[in-house]
Amino acid sequence: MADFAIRAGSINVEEIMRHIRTRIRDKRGVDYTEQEIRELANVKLERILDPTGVRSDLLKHFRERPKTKWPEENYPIAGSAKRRLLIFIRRLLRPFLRLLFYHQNAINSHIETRFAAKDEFDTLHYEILNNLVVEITRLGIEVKSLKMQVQSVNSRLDFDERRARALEGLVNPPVAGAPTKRKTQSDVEEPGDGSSSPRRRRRRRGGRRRTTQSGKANQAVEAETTTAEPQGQAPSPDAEVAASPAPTQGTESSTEEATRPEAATPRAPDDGAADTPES
Amino acid sequence: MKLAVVVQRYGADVNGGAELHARYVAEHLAKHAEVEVLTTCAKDYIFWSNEFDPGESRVGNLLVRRFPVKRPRDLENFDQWSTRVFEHRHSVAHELAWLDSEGPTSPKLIRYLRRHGSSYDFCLFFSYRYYHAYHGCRAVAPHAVLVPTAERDPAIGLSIFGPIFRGVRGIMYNSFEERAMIQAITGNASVRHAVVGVGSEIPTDSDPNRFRQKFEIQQPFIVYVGRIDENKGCLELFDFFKNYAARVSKSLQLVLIGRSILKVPSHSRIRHLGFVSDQDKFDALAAAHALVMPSQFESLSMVTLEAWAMSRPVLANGCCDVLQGQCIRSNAGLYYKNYEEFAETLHALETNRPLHAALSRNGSQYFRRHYAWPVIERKYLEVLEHLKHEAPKPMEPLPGWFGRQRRNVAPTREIVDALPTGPALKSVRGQRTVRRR
Repeated sequence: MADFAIRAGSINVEEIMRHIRTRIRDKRGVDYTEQEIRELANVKLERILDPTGVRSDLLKHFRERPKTKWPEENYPIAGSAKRRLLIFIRRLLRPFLRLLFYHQNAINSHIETRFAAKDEFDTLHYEILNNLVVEITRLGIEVKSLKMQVQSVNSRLDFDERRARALEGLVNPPVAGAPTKRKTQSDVEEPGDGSSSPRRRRRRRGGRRRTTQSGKANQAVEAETTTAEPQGQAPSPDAEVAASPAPTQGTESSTEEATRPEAATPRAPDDGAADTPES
Repeated sequence: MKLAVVVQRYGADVNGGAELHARYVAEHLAKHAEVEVLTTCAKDYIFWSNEFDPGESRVGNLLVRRFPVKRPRDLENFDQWSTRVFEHRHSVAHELAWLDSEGPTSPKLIRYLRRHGSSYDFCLFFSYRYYHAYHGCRAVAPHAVLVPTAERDPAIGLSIFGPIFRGVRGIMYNSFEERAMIQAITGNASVRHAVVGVGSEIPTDSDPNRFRQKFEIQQPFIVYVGRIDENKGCLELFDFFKNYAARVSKSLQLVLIGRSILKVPSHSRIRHLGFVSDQDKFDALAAAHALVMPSQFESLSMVTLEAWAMSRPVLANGCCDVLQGQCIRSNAGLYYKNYEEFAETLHALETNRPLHAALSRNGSQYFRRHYAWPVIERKYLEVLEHLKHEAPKPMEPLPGWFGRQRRNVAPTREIVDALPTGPALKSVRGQRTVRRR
């Protein structure tokens, strides 16, 4: 809703109304009228996207479009001297010819044929345009749907990764004397082919989760991870803060640090690379 | 100076807009001139049935002469004539038949004006569209001053009114938009005129708490005052407000004051109080957060002026040129044309205190500057004084019998639709131009 800065004695209703209309237009995107919006809302999408309406033999109809037969060329009059004479004779005989032959029927039928052919062809054009619009609409909707799916999969992947990391930390405690927990894990997971590229942390996409059910569960697991730090290891000051208050209180005890699970993890000296996205 | 105020209905308990306007003007001009009121015996504006006694009586300090209405209005007949002249090609005879069917048909009033009209310096005719104004202006053209109270409806396009607007001595318009519309349709810019409007009797002892206690309304509310009718935009108002109450505001109420001729929806935040006294009306305006005026057809809207006089902002229907123009000129009200604008403007009025205060202050100043009674009286007297020294022009005669039968007049709705629309804002600065929407 609109907020206006009103100074004493400087109010201008036209200005305020312009501001309000701009806001409405910005919110709406396009300046549709009420009626247009109602009409758009009432359109049934299924009717547009009905795939049974598309003809499979459309191409065939296009190929077989009727070819217009043109009437044969009029009798050409060649030569200038003859031409004038012939024209004269023609003019002379035209009333009699008109009396004897009636050309209008032939002309009309020819025009009708041409119009009919054109109508048929126009119908095909209309149909193909309609099909194109339907296809574009369908594709637009599919793209939107796919985008949503990708987002959903991304968030699930994000969640799974964090969960996996927490579980790994729980199952494989770091070896005593190792500089970081992360390094220990990478050592464990080092592939057999000898390629020892260091594993990188994946950057969070949508920020930290706070209030969702799964988020809470995740925090609980990670809090447990925090409490399960190896005793023989000298943890970083961050880890001390995280581990010291409640080793037995579980999820609820880790009020602040549960929301920052990685704070409990001792950071490696080259931890700057840990924030780069996984390639 | 001797003046006659000629109006279709008159009485202390007659509450139509133009009738109240006429009564206020008559009472205030009585301070400066000898004023008589010429009217019909009708009290009801739908059928014009004779409810007052004919003859002389007094209302307040004024002498009132009442003349009987010959026949009540036949609504079916009037509708048929309206369709004929508004929607179809027609003749001048058809328009005269429409006027006759509309009423209040009082030949005795016209006869009195013909006989005694010259005994008055001026006759002020209110509401151009009724029988008394059309035939009265023709009967006493050299003394006729018209207060049209015209709205943007198809009746203004009738060809019979053109000679009246061009032939009267003076015209007192209610607003710049009304003037622009009439001048565009009749070409009467040369007739002496003034944009006057009307004042109101604003009580000094209005008390918002008295209203809240009496009607047990504790929540903030906006108020609508007037006939609750579809033609006044009330159905749209109900829809918009229900939406607004559901989506935006959690406490604002809508209070309706006036006689209802449609069903008021049963909604927890819509209160209909019915017809109330003037004191309650002004108390309600004092207690309200704002006045809402949803009507599309207004020639002035006295209640809007009263709200401004009470330092209350107005939320008006922007489809009405007059209301939109008044809001812009006064900087004392916002306007809407659809639900989004309604919601945004109402929310701004509800939540933005500096805006509310500035609009209220401007409204009060605007009313004092343009609609206080001394200002109105001075404008009337100035125009009448000028007219005294000008020679009257003859009014154009009606066409002959054959001319009246000729169906050469376009449907009036087409004529009115083709008129320019929008507020006539430049008029304030001396140049009269009408903006097209």
